[in-house]
This record gives sequence, structure tokens and C-alpha cells, in this order.
Amino acid sequence: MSNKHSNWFEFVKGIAKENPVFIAALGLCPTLAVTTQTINGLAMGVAVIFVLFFANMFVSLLRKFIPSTVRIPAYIMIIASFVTLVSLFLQAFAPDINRALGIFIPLIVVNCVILGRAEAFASKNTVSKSLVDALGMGIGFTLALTLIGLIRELSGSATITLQFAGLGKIFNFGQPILDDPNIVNVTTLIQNPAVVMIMPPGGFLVMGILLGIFQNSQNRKAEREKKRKQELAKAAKAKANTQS
Amino acid sequence: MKYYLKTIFPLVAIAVFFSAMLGVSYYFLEPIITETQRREEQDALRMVLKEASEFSAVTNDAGFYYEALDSEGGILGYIFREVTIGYGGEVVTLVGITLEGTAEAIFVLNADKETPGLGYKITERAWQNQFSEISPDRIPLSKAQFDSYGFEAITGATISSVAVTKSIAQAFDRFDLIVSEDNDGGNDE
Amino acid sequence: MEFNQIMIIMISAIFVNNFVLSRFLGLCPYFGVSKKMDSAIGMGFAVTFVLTMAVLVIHPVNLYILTPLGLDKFLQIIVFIFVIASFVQLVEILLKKFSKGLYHALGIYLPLITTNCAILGAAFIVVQENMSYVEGLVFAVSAGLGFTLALIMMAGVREKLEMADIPKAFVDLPISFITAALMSLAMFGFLGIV
Repeated sequence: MSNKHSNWFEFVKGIAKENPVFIAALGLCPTLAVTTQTINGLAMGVAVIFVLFFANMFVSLLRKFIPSTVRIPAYIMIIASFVTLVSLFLQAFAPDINRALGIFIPLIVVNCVILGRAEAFASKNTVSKSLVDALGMGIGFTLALTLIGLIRELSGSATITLQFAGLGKIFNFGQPILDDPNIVNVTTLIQNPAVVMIMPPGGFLVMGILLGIFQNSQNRKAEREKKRKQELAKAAKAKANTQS
Repeated sequence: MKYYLKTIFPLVAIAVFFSAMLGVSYYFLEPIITETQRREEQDALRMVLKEASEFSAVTNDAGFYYEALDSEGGILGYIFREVTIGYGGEVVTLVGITLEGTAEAIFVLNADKETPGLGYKITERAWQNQFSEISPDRIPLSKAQFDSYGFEAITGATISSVAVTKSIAQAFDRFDLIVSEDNDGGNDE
Repeated sequence: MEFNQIMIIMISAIFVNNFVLSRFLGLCPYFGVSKKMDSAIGMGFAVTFVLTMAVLVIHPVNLYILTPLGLDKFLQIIVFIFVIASFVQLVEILLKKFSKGLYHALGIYLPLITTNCAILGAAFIVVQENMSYVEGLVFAVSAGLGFTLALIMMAGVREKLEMADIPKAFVDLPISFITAALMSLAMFGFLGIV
């Protein structure tokens, strides 16, 4: 079945229909821990895209070489190598992101999204399809994390941090903070941000509400499908009755 | 036996290949990483004693600290990296004291364990600036002292604020140690 | 090592910095296994066991093999996860032989312990905070107990939630997250003890 779908389908499914965070609820640990600032969510997402891309590439390349009994340890080792690479790159070129993401960088190894795609897709598909799948899932993951980070940061500290390796600024929408060249005081939209939002309870809460929203749309879709099938069945039955 | 070899061999091959790849990558990235770390350290130190052109790390009886040097190698002052206990964990502060014994500036390096929005505000430069030129006998170490000495603690985060002032006091203590070791010092506090 | 220090590490890891509710480690199995009390308890103890064993091996390996050779800079992640994966494999074999019931109850979640961020996370925390061997082991056991505590609490609530009238959009996962939010908020009461 996977051979029949076009490359575009494989790419888009990771973003919407099978979004790893909101639909499949995978990779939850970094999702909640890292999204205290928008840029952190974005950076973690990009790191995951990198690892996903190369892990899928190598798992697919070696899929005939790795025996099934040891496939999980093999996949984990491949993933761990690229995670180490990411960690080294961050240490060298973006130390502040490295510090902000902390132990969740090595924890990318056990991110269920990456292992899940390797096991479910890359081990059974061609390299090109696996790469497309990796990009789609990775971008879906990144969008989810950036969204959560944006919501939490804005409501929790009234800022939007878009600063990476010294470039970019922090946009402040709360009480003006003086004397810091990195902060751009836009306006005071939010007088007293709800600090709890950038703390663990806030993370769980935002995730719960977003999951509820997505589950609602899934339910509605399923109901519409059901109704459509019922209408078709009724019409077929009516036709059969009139004919007999 | 052959079955075991057949299953283990790919695993070992992958392990060796990827470890080697990582080793090579590290070989090329390591100098960049060291340089980045050094630059980060220098940037932090410069926040505290701006006029210095370079810093040299020293370890002696007074512990570990930095000497801030001007372009000719003369000592402008000292920078102390103090670790104190805040509300949620350790707070790391850099305190710069000039040769004359006045506090030039402070910079909170690490306050990640403090409560965001409350104790974490000790990382705001505007709040830290009030401690420039602070006199060593008027360092507030309690809420009452903050009021009487004319400083502002972070509202609702006294413990975090005191963690910072404690590091200033510790820095001055070590400064005295260094000064008393210089036989021809004559610097007064 | 003083009893006082041990208590501090235990209280910190179980309550103040609970692995699930404060550190966000171990969330996947947390929401996956907490539907029934028995599987929750079983998973909790399995994780505690693997956690302790992992630190037991990883700490000396890191200290005496990786660091002196300078390999810890780039082989740490691979070696750590390899040790953990091996232990989970071992636990699987042992359970299959000695406790078939638990083996079947945990089902697919048993091999998934390898991808439990709590275990790898704990290993890294022990290494990064330079804990001694004993400190590390106490931390590992406490972290596992904290994880088990959070799991049991969540299982208790979820079993009751099955009978409640929850809006369709929030059934199952969303309401569990909101429950976790409230539990996490409650854990805040422990802040400042240590």
C-alpha cells in the first residue's frame, strides 16, 4: 500500500493527518519540557528533523542488511550516532540553545517519533520515500512544538523569544524590561502573565486542551464518515426496495 | 553458532562504523567547541569588568578567581565566580571588584533553578545594576537590611535576591584574602 | 554517607523534582500504562529495577572507561543507551522465565522501557551532577519510586474517570493531561523543602 502513495502524500501526512504530537501522541517528553520558549521548541524540532532525516536514510539503506531480531538495537545505535552529532554541533555553534535544551538533546535518542518512523516506515520503504516521510513528520513535529512554545511563552512570560546564537531578539509584550539590548519592548499587552504556564502544570494543561481540540475534530470527521456511510446504505436499500 | 554470528555481525559492524564516524567528527569539531566555550566565558567576564582586555584564571589560597588585565598586563581588578544556594538550587554569580576595592558590576551566570517570573528576575540587568559601587559593609543579607540599606529585593523572591547578595559578600571576603596576601598592598576596603 | 544526605536525595527525587510531574521524564509509558492499577504498579517496579541497574553499570563505565579515554565526549550517548537496551532485554528474558503473568500484563510496554526517557534521563542527570556511586544509586531508586508513585496516582484517577461523564472530545488522553496538570500543581507544594 505504501508504494501506491505519492511522495507528496507521504510528506503532507506527517504535518496534518498523522501529526506525531497531536494525533499519535508520540515524543511527549521533549514536547512539554522544552516549550517554555518559542525558540526552544523550534530548535528542538529542527534537531529532530536532522536526526529523523539521517536515521531514516540509513535505516532504509541498511534495511536488507539488518536482521530482524536485532533491528531495534541497530536502529537505536544509528539514531544515537546522529543525536551525538547534533549535540556536538550545538555545543560548537549554538551554546545558548545547547544550555536551554539541556538533557533533552541526548534524550532525542529515545524520542518515540524517530524510533517509531524507523520501525514503521523506513525499514519497509525505499530511501527516497523514507526521506520524504522523515521531512513530513519532522516538520509536523516542529510545527507542534513551536505552537505549544508560542502559547506557553506568551501566556506565561509575555514574551516571544526568537533569538538563536546571538541573532534575533526577544519580543516583550508585558511590563517593559530595561537595560537589556536583547529585549525589544513592543507594547504592554499582558500586565501580569500567568507564570504557571511556563512551569510543568502549564505544559500539561496546554497539551491537554490542544489534544482535546484535535480529538474533537477527529470525532467530528469520524461522525461525518459514519453519517455518509449510513446515507449510502439507506439509498442503496431504498433503491433495492423500489426495484423489488 | 553461525546463526548467532549472522545476527551479531551486522550489529557490531554498525557499532564500529558509526563510532568511527563520530570519532572523526569529534576530531574536527573539538577545537571549535573549545573555542566557543572560551568565548562564552570571556563574554560573561566582560559583562562584569568592561575595560579589561583579557582575563587570566588564578588558583591559590584564596581559591579560584580571574584577574582582569588591561592591554599592558596590569591588573585592573578581580572577578569572582560565587556559588550560593537560592530557592530551588544553586545560583552562580560573577562579581567584579576593582583593585581599589569597589564593586564594579555583577552578573548572574546561572539561576535556572529559581522560579521563572519571580526568583529568575535576578538575571535582569536592571536589577543587578543597583549593586554597582556597593560598599562591603552595607551588603543586605535579609529583607530588613534590603529596606534599611536602600536596595530593592525582588518582590516575593527574597531568598533568590539574598543568594545574589551573599555571593557579593563572599566575593569581598575573598578579595580581602588576596589583598592581605600582597605584602605591599595597602588597599583599603 | 549521612542519613541526612540520603533523605534529601530521596525527597528531592520523589516529591520535589518528581520525574514525571516536574521533569517531564517518562511521559509515554505514563499515559500508556496508567489505565489499570496492576499494570501501572508492574511497570513502575520494572522501571525502578532497570533504572537502578542502569546506573549501577553506567556510573563506573563512565568514570573508569569512557572519561579517562576521552571517549565520553562523543560515545556517551551510544554506550549509555546500549547498556539500557541490554538490561531491558535481560529483564524480558527473566520475566518470561519466572513471571509469565507480569510478562503478558506488560505486553508491548516491556521492550518500550528502553525508550523510556526516564531511564536515559536519570543516567545523564547522575553523570552531569557528578554524583558519587552511592548518591547515584539512591537517586536512581528514588527516581523510580517517584515514577511509580505518579503512575499509581494517575491509574487511580483514570480508573474512576472511566465511569465519569466526560465530553467526547476530552475522553482518554486529553483529560489525563489535565489531570496531570492538577497533580503537577499539587507537587508544587513541595518546592522549597530541599
